[in-house]
Amino acid sequence: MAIGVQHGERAKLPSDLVKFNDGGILNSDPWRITHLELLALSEGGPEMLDKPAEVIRMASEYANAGFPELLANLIGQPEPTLNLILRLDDLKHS
Amino acid sequence: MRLIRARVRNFKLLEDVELEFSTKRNQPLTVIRAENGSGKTSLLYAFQWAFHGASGLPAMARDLRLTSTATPFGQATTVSVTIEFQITDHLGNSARYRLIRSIVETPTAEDAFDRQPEQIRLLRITAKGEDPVASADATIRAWLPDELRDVFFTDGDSVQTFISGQIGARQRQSRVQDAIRDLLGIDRFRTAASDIEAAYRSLRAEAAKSGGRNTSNLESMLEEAVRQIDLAVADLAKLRERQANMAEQRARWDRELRGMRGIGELDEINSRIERAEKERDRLERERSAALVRMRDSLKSEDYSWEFMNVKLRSGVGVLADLADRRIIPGASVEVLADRLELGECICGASLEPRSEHREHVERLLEEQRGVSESLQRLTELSHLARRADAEEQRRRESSRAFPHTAAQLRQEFTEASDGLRAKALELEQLKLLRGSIDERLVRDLTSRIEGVDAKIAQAHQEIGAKEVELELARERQTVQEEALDAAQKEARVSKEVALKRDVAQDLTNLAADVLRVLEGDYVRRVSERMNSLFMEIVGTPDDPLRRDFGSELFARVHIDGAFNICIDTFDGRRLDPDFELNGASKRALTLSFIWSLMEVSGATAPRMIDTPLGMVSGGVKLRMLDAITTPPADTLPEFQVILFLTRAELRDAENLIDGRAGAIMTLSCSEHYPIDLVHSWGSDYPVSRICSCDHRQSCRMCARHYDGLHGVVFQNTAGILK
Repeated sequence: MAIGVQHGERAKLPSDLVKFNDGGILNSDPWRITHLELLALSEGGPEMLDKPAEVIRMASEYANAGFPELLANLIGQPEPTLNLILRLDDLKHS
Repeated sequence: MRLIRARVRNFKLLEDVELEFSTKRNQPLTVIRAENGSGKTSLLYAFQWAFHGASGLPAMARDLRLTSTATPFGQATTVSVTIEFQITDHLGNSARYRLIRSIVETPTAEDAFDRQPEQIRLLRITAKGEDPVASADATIRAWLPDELRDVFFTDGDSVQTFISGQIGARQRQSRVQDAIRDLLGIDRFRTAASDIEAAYRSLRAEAAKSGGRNTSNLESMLEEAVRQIDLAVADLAKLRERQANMAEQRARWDRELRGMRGIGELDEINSRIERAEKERDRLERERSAALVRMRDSLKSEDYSWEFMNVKLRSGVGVLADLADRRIIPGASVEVLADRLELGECICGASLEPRSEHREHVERLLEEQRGVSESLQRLTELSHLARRADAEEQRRRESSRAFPHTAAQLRQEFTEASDGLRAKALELEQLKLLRGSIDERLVRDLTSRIEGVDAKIAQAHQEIGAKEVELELARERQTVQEEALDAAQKEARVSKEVALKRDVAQDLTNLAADVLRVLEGDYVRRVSERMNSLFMEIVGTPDDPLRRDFGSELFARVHIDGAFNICIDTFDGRRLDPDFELNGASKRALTLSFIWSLMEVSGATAPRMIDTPLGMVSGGVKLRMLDAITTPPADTLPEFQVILFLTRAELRDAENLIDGRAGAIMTLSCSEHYPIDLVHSWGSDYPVSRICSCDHRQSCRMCARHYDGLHGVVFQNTAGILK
């Protein structure tokens, strides 16, 4: 999602969605909710916080936009994590 | 010789590389910044090949293909090196030349190739054009003798063979002696002295012949005595050489034996292996931990702040705006209800039933009930965001934010990976060592040493006998010379022939004396200059920095009568350069020798050295660099130093380089992307290229990860030379 936000790109979600994550991650790290809400405020103003589905869609679209780059930097790399962290550094300075 | 520019094409990965060298007297240094594997060695080989042909390459490189491994089998490729340089003779006359060596090579299989004969052209550049120079190879050899190519073009390790390495002491002495003689032109004078002596002998024989049968016979006998002496001298030299070789061989076997006995305890080796394995496991854990922390960092709040900063701050801005407009924090529904129940407002006013004030609070309560849920959420979010923002600011101020943590983790990962590689190598060597303990070999070495001891003793006896024989022959020569002199005085020897003979004899004696003085004088001057340069690099005995060098014991270095480079300590010991000098000292000493040799001889050949500062760091590195790049004094000829330096070698020496380098460029290899290089070149095959970035810059071609940490500034505008 952060990659998508960094690029300022949202990619529309396909219609045939399969839910594989039930949002449990949001419970484990409360700051994630805070960041998500700040992002929503930035995108759609205070009103957007009243539409949780809208917030989740925004997050998913950012994530969807960031996925191709994430995968390209992980798959087939001898040290995927190192490579990802190096490329993210590039992305930040590009 | 002063190099001006060069172009290398299709030599290994150097597809098309152009270089411009510094030709400034006050900035004799040219720096080629390049990391390991960027093509430095290829570039050095390209210069050796251009000047000396395939025979100029190190033995191991001679049979390897010159073209890139990416060249398809069957594709004929022209490899060429063009060097433009200037030669100034002893009268100060200068001329420019262009040397072009080329060859067509066709790879036929992995390590096989067909090669056409080498082509060499040497052109003298004049105002009218370029005139071919006949005998190009011979002309080049006169300027850069083959024997001295290791002095002119070398690398940090090979350069040390003047004082240490896997060659024997005799070979080393010979290298030092040859370098001195070749560079100082002593051999040319030696040949002249030998010619004069031959002329004297011929005139002496002619004089004796003209004096009649008696003098003629005496001359024949004298000639025979001289021949016997020459033979005895040659035999003696051979015997001494043989004895020295055997002694050297004995020392090697002895060292090997002592080494084996020293390492002989299997338990000790096993314990070292165990320690190394533990260390390897620890490094593996560190490496894994660094990866885990990297992964954690990618899930962290810092990371989120770093990459979504603009959006998150915009969200914080929206909340601040709401607060400014007093929309949040929202008045609490519970508080208003409590106040109504108590009948008193928080401002102290009475909330009596039907009072105006009460009606206002009741209206407020009604409104708040409608929007309270949203406002409450915004208020809470505002509190959370403020706290998170403040925490992020604190992290940033104390360098705990994501970019710093990520850089630190990358560094930790790299260090652990490097340590692991080193440890794996150490383990491999230890295991080899364990496998090499061989009782049979110990017995074999002991037996060989006993055998060679007997042969050395026998050679010693033979030398003694030969010395006696030589002494007797010299006595006979003296007697026969006196007899010949006396007989010639009585006989009628032609005055003219006698005069010529006497003049030739005087010249022979003079030449022998001059040669002795010359050789002694040159060696003394080289020796003294070498000592002062070396001490300059390692520091004076009082210099606290000298302790960094581990060399506080050095009292003096010098070249002895047998052309050994000797290192004496303050406590009167002489150090073995192979075993008692560290790598930095070896480099310092050899560079001091080469520099003093060049200085005393007045040679102006360029000195091109690959990675000269490996193994040295700190103050020593700066002093070494300072010593070898100091511009020549007004009375000394100018020179060029071309150094291939890695970023690590350049680090902390930037200011010195600023002043000394008249030209700096950077060589990189496409293969280093993505692990080391930041940007892809889009090349389908491995290639090395050069750009004009100096030691403080990087561009899209040469930028490497961590450059920023070391103050190298990225610029898109750096030009790519080729």
